[in-house]
Amino acid sequence: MTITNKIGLYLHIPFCLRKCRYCDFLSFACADENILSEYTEALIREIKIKSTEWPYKIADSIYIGGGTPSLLSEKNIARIMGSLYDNFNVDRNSEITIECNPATASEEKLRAFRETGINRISIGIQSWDNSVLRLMGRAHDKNDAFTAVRSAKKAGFKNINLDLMFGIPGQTMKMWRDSIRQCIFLRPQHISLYSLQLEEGTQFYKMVYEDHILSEPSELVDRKMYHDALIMLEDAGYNQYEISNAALPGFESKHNLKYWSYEEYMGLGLGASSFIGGVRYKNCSNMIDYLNHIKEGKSPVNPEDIEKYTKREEMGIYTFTALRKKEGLDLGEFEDIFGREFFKVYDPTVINTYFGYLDYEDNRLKLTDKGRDISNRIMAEFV
Amino acid sequence: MKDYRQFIRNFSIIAHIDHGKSTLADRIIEKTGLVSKRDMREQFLDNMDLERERGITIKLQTTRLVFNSKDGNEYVFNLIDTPGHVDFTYEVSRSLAACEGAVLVVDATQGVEAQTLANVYLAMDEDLEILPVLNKIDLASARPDEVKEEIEDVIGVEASEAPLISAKEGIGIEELLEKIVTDIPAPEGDDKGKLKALIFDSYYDNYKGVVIYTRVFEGTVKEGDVIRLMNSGKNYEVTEVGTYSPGPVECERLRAGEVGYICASIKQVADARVGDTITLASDPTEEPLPGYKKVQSMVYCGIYPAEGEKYENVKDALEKLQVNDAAFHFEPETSTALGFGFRCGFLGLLHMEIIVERLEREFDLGVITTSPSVIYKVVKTDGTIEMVQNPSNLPDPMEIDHIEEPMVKADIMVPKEYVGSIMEICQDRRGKLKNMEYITETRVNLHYDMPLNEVIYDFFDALKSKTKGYGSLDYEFSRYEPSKVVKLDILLNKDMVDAFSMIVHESKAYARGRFVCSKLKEIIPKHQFEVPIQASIGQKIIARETVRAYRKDVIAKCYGGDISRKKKLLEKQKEGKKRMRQFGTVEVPQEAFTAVLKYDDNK
Repeated sequence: MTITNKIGLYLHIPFCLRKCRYCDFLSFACADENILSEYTEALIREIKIKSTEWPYKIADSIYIGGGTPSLLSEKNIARIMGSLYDNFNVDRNSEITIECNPATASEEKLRAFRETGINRISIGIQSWDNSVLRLMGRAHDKNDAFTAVRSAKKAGFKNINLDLMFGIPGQTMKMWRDSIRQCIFLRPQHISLYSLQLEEGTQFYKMVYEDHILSEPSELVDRKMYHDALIMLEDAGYNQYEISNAALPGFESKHNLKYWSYEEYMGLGLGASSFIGGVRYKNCSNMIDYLNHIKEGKSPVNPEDIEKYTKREEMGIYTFTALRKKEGLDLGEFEDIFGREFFKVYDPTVINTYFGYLDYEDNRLKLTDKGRDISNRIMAEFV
Repeated sequence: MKDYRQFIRNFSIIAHIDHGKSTLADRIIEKTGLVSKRDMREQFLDNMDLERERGITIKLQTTRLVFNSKDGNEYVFNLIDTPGHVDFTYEVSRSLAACEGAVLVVDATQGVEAQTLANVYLAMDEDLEILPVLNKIDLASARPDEVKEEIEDVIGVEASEAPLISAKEGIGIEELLEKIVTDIPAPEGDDKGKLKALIFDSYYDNYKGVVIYTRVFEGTVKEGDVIRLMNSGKNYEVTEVGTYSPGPVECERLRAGEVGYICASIKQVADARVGDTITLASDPTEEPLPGYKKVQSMVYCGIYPAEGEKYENVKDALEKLQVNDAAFHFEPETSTALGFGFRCGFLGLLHMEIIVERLEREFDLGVITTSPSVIYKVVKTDGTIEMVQNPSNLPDPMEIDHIEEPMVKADIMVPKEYVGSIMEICQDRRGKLKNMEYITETRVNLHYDMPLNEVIYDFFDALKSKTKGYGSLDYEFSRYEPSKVVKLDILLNKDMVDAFSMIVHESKAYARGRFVCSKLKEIIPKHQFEVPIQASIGQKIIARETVRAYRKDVIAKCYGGDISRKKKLLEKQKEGKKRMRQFGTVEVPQEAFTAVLKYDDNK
């Protein structure tokens, strides 16, 4: 940051064709056109309500995430975008991203998206192996994925991200390396790599920990998948600028970086999070409550979901988010923001404790390759 | 005027755990109209939360009840409760000494248990009239005739007229109360004689000081009297006498045959020990009541403040507990691993668990306890003797001629189908079978000679587990005996952690070492490096496990900018880390200290 008048906007579309087996995100399997339109209507009203709260802010990134935003019709997306332009000061150089599932991304649809000003597309490929895709419960197969990438290019997208996952039950080292190779071959501008987390309440969790019909790859395999992929991406010219993200130079995601750079963002839609004016809050996660709030013209935030953290807590947040970035944390910037010297706030011995995991150089603190594997543990030192 | 003593009945209820003693006490209290049913908390006499939860009585309660008998007279019943666990045998014996009779509650579905038997013997030692009753008569599985026979065979008490009751359903209570009037003798003793009163319990009250529960055998005591406690030799002026019904009610005096309380500005429970005799300083009796003994701690362990807990707070709490519990004592000690703490002495393992739980609940303190130990008699080469209860204080092996360990006489009562498995666990714990008697066709009493060390460790849990809860245990100290015991140390990442050290028998050292290592392996989280866990005797490593290094601890996806969620996750992780103790470079969760002590069915 620091003091700027720029914000990112996040819009949440909590619907999918179906719920994947690993998913614990806020999303529902629902493709009913009436419901999707009703939600779109509510989202547009929320845009109107929220936009008046910070009239001087300029939106320089917009991210439509989900769920599966591409499940919405061209018309609904166009209405949402129109409403954003009408109500916010949207910078003409904004990065505007939409997430797509290959199963819902026809060329025609993507072209329509592109015409609304959306200039970046993030495609949930996850894997290039049909058996892995089936096991994950994804709604697409390998062919759909190829078609989606081709369609995105044809539709005129010059900034494409592909999402991949590793550490999936049943996924072998070879399948993973093939997936990476396949991605590199398609030459998207951006690639995200996520290590699968088995979350309680998901089908995968049950299959692994309760029914024992699946087993997770070992930590050793998971970490090898991660490090091997990074080497392959680096060789292909991608720069890993954040724990889970790599991009061709100049294509680092602006919106994504806001989260890790202590910049402001406003969340719109069900369960969306905001950090603005020094306050963190979250929209309610119950659809009925959300719709009712909006109908009454009220902000859909429950008072208990508004967090005003202490300065000390914010320092912790600043630190652990910054550590996700390759460039790490700038101690000078820390002092500029909080008016305190970093090592007067935190015990300097942490560097010795995590020798080889945490690097301190040129007034910057960053995780080493090894450190990224145990990032939570290190980050926990600062909260 | 009739003799007042004729209308007094002093009695206890004795029973095995779960046989319904407290429920019966509740019914009696209810029937005599002392407490209305509406106001009644479940199990009136067990007034500590802990007692209620565990279903056992730890602290005694005494209640004075008034019963209008069918014979037209009004009787005073003094119901003296007894603690229900093998750790508190001495307290039981003193409570019984204050009575003329005992109501023996036997579960009509289960029959006589080892502890019932142990308590009956204690009652017989005090020449009490034993009045058997059969409880849980409402259950379909009740077999009153068989159980009556069992009582007659095993205990040798006439049981044909034993009341059949259900304390839970309130069946047969009236009949039992009449039976108490007719069968239990009235107290004797001359209220004009020289004062002779027994302390059978005491507790500390913030305003009154120590409150003594007493039974007067001879003479009379009243406010203003200067009393002498014969074994401690100290004099105190009586500030108040009274009875419990069930709250304290002040009265003018307590006469021979009566039961009540005395306050005399006594500062510590330890100054008014159970079993001591109260007399008048101005006109003392020549002979104290028999049976006084100073209770000895049998089990010791270290209690240390958990991470973030203040030493002073733990000390204050222990002092408060000690004021109220003469059998518990403590002194400061230090451990290289855990820092400053206390070495504490207990009657037994249950007593220890109760104290620790009270620290945690009543005082809201986090503490770490080290392996419990018995007291070893170390005979040194120079002929001197050292009593050692902390493994860290064991002298250098070169200085030791031999070590003796305390042995106990253990009585285990089980249904006969479990005899095989009981023999197995006893043999496993170095027990020697002395003899075995069939109490009935289906129930067996096994007499064992066993090291106390083995009994305190996990024997009771093992017994319960192997007998589906039907087995029962009673034990008492018998003697010291030379034994081949060794000090077993635990090393984490090559550094010894003294808090894990324990003294074990040579034959058990390997198994114990392996067990502790594998348990620690489960509990100690992964570190950035491999953590070897080793068990050693002296320099010799006898068991080893390794906690593999950490490889992955990441949450890659941070969904939709929900930083608060991530923050909470990290905080949770940090919180978990706080509950760890740092030993050198290794972090050990606090539950590790108790986990290595627990009985494991699968080992």
